[in-house]
Amino acid sequence: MASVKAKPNLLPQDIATLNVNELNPLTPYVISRQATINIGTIGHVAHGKSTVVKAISGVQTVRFTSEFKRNITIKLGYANAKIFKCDNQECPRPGCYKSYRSNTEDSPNCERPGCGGKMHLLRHVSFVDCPGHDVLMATMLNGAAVMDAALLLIAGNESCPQPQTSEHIAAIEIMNLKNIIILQNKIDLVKEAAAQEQYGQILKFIQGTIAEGCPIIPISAQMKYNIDVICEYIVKKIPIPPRDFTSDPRMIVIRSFDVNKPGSRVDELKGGVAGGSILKGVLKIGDEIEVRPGVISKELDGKMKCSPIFSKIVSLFAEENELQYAVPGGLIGVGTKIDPTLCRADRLVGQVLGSVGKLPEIFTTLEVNFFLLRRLLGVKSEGDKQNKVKKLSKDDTLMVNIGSTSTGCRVIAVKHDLAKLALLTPVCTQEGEKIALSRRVDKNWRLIGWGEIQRGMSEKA
Amino acid sequence: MNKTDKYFENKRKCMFQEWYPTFKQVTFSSTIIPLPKIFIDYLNSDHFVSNEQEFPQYRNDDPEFLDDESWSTPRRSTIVDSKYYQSYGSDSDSDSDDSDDSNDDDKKKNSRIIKESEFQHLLDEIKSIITKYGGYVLPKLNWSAPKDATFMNAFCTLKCSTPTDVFLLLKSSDFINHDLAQFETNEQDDDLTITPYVLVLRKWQNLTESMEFRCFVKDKKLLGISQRDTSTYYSFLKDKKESIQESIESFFNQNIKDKFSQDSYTFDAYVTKENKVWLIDFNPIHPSTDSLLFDWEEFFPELIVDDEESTPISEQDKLKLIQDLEFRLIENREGIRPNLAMESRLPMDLKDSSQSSAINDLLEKFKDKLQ
Ligand SMILES: Nc1nc2c(ncn2[C@@H]2O[C@H](COP(=O)(O)OP(=O)(O)OP(=O)(O)O)[C@@H](O)[C@H]2O)c(=O)[nH]1
Ligand SMILES: [Mg+2]
Ligand SMILES: [Zn+2]
Repeated sequence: MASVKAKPNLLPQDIATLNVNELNPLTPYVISRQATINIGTIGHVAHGKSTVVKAISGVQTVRFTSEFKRNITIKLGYANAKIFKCDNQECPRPGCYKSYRSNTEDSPNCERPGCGGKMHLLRHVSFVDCPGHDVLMATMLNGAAVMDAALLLIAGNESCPQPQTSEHIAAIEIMNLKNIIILQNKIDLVKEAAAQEQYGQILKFIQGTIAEGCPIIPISAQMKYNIDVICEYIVKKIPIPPRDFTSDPRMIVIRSFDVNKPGSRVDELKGGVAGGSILKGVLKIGDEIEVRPGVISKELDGKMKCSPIFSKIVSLFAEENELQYAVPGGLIGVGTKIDPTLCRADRLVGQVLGSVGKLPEIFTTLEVNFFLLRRLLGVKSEGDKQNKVKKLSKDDTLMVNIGSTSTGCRVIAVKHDLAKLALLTPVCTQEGEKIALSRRVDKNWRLIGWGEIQRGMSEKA
Repeated sequence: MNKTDKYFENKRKCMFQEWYPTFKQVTFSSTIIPLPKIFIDYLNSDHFVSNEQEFPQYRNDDPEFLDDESWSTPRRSTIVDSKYYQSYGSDSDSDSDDSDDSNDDDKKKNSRIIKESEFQHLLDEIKSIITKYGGYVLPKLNWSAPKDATFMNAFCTLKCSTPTDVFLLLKSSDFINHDLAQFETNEQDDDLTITPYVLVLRKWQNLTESMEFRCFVKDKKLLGISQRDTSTYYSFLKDKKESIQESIESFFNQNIKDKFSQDSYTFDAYVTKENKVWLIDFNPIHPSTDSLLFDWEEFFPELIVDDEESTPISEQDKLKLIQDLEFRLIENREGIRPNLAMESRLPMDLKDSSQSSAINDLLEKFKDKLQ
């Protein structure tokens, strides 16, 4: 990654001339400003996942090097990058491919001395730390392919298979990822013969798995060796994902905040900001939107009440880039006219944002068809009684994951494999949706089973 | 807390009940309730039930829905592998012998069943404190608030209006677990014995996260100030940086420096729009305190122990020791970042850092389920 500090010169977006039927994940006006392809990065922390993402995207991660820290694991989350190719035919591959930060102008000069070519923007990708637990859970519940491809990292200075590698492959299978690129990292630390030998081990290891036949690239993220090869493969091997741009837009909120200076006058107050990933459709500045379930409050008689929020989009952004309209891909920030105090401290996390009147229903109580695991996961010994999953009973307090929402619930009644659950926070969802159930065991939330929503009850109007 | 912990004294002095009496005037109104052993056992127990009257309720549009008798016919779109999943068919299931569980589990520490009515006195006390503070409070124990458990709160915050709201948060939080692991309670003690633990109820304030700052003090010298919500860029902070720093410095000199019992520690400050500073909390110099935009190494290089997991750092990468006050903010908009604290909203089984191969197991079973 090279740093282009120059003020970005991005293509202007114009809602007046926008025709969503003509948009696709390669539309120049879109990829000039936002990512349209999601790539999961899978691998053990110490194997250099964040270094690779940094080498490609230029997004700096925080370093935690010592035990004197609560989180040793580096959590990157999301990072976007633009991938370019030099338009000079003479410019040799793979060096003619290059990646820059998301805010880079669309046709920087080729950096090869004496080339004189212009770089041409081909892709705008979003790297997602994977299997991020949320991504994994969402995929398991919805079956939807959140990721379009994956980079699987293997440390070149260790023998293959490494602990966890088979787990990673299993995760890739679950996420139904067909497009995988294996990166043999830290190649600078080993002799060529050793790298060759490991290459053979990897080939053998992936035989018969979903990763069979995928490209294996030796790289050094530290020395930035072969990063251009990764870029070339991303362009050539990862197919353009099919996307639904024409349905009513829907976004899952994963962040919400209030960016105002305390004490701002009403007329200078900025509305609340919601951030998340768009599942389908296109969000545009000026759109009237609804957020469900909305504001939760307590009435004088002690009963809880939820009121959906109605508002308008006033700004959109992807990383640092301002947008006029946003499509699925990466994480999108949505500036609204919502009372900012309602957005403080992630209060809207797990809620759904979309067109007015087009969102699923809001349920306060669910009837679910559930199936419980016999014993807790990861426990091999059959005899161990403590690890048996107890049946559900009335009044149990559980954690329930529905789509990307989690909330607490109380079991109201159970009959065979049906249960009624009173939710702590209402959920915007629909019948047939899958849920995960967890219970407190040894003071941890442990998965005890899955379920499917049979029907839901809404709040009385 | 194990006494060999080298940071023990520092940590103990940061307990709420240790500092609150001295700093009452400069922090939010709070009430400290010493906790009896029965309540600690209740928090430690896996038994987690809520009764209908206490659990938050919404107005129903269909009373029949809640009926024990009215059930729909399951769609059964999902096929279940009986090797992994319990079955409920008419044929008796040899493995679903729940009946004898209770006897077996009695010996297990976490399984004691304690009803809330067994500590009625405490319940009443919490209720009256909530009323005293105008209806809403924020709960915490000696050190920690259950910030990781906001999904177990109807408002998705730490705002509680009933004792049940408080218990739901406390029983769901790993941060609270962390506090509960600091002192051994004696199994032999009777239920009413007062433990070293306290429940703190603080009057609910409508705070703006952007105005919370963590301040680092070494040898009575204020060396660092960091934005506390490090996941968000607040553009207005740049312009206010100087005035915020001045306010915090003078607050520190007047109200903290010579009054706190320790020489090195961190404290959290809230700055109002009039630049008045409030104290939120003290935190020890300890790995469990988040150093936010600083690295502990920049203040206390002597405490850093390199372990095998970490990548060795070269001399040139070593961080510079901070000797004069530095104020760090998130300086540019980087777009939306996920809030990492949200990880606690998912079952532990999905965390790949765990020793067990739970993820693998999960994936295997899930795959089977699909087939
Ligand atoms: N809205 C609101 N938030 C509050 C209030 N009191 C505290 N908070 C928030 O709750 C968070 C936790 O409070 P602390 O007492 O600092 O929690 P803690 O567990 O000591 O936190 P760490 O030291 O970071 O582990 C703070 O960051 C505040 O944002 C309140 O009255 N109202
Ligand atoms: Mg604290
Ligand atoms: Zn060139």
